[in-house]
Amino acid sequence: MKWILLIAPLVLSLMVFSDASSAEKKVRKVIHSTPPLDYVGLENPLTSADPKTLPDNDPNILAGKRLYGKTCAVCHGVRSDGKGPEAEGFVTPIRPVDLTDPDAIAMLDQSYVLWRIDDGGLDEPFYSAMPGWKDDFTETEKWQIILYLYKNAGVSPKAKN
Amino acid sequence: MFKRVFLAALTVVLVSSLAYVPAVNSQGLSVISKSVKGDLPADPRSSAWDKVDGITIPMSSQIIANPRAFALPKGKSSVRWVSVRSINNGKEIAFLLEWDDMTENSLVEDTSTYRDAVALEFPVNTPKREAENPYFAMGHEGMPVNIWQWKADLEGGRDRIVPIGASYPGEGLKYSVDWYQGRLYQLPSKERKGPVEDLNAERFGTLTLQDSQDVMGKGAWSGGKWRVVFFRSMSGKDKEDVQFKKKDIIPIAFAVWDGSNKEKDGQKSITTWHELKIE
Repeated sequence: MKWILLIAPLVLSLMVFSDASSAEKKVRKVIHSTPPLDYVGLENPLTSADPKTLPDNDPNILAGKRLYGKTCAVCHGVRSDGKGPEAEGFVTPIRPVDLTDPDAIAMLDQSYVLWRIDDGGLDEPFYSAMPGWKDDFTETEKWQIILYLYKNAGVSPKAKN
Repeated sequence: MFKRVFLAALTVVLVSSLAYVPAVNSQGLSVISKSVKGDLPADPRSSAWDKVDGITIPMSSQIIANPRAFALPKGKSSVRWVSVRSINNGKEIAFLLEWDDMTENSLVEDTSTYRDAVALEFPVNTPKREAENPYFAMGHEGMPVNIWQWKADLEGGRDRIVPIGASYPGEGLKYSVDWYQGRLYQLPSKERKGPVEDLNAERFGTLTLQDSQDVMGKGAWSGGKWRVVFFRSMSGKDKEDVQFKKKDIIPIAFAVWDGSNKEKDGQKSITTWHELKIE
């Protein structure tokens, strides 16, 4: 009986914290909207290979890594986990995306990611701090960044239907 | 003995569960404006502020719009957090903002020197739902924001009269052209009442000094830290101003400029929306 009195608070504690953790998960927002027709079906002109399988010394991966490190990593992190040094101030309504999350770019094809890089998240329905990079990179540079995003996050693009 | 251990363990669980608050939720952090009676402390050094709990809000470099903070001497903005306290007496509301800054940059003699500054931002019209918030960085068309910007160089009555559009002495348009008459004419100036500017914006590049300057403030630097107080009537007739009522929950965002890092205009530390809860 006495042991029950000691164990009960521990069980209660686990219940409280697991509830809080699941409540936190429920507020997570993953928005995958419909891209404009201009982007639908676009294929990466640099390679048809799965970016995750490209070697570290692939020239496009190296170029993408350099560009990612210069502009994207401050928010999305060098490990693509959404924990870059500038991420903490940009928390609402959504944090910088954790690109390694199975619900993030792994659910998308490369053309969708190109759209997000071009337009950013300033407008409906995203309203995130992600700026549009349409005029900051050449088309080749954007595709190189996309290859590196998948490679660094260790995920493959969504399989074609 | 077991009863005591049980009660102690239960207390630990209850306190822990109450203390379990996610660092940031989708609405961000909460700034509580404490309700008090009597006059509000207008001086940032007033001991009255010691009785008000503050909250520390993380900041990031403005890297959304050009010119981005990447171009600053440090490659980023300096300030990583701002501490915020608020207090109201039902008629007026005040905020105390504090942040670390090892150098005081209060004198702006020309366009090659830069000031320290801090700003609060609110939607002019409080949205009913989070999804209806204006864009956190300077609002967007049809959804204006009200910005209160304190500038270190305006303390002590300096530079209170400036041409429209002038952010720094020597900048801004002083004259315009009357094409019908074929002559130059002097643009009207607006007079500031103190070191705080009452502004509106509807997107990047639209920051405008209001005709009616309703926000007062005072800043003090010491020991590597700025302390700046903003205060204003909670409500008024100016439709360009945010209005406050007891029990309101209003989005609030912040920006800080470090003059020693040559931060100016869009090159600054910023936050996204958090919430202001008015007791």
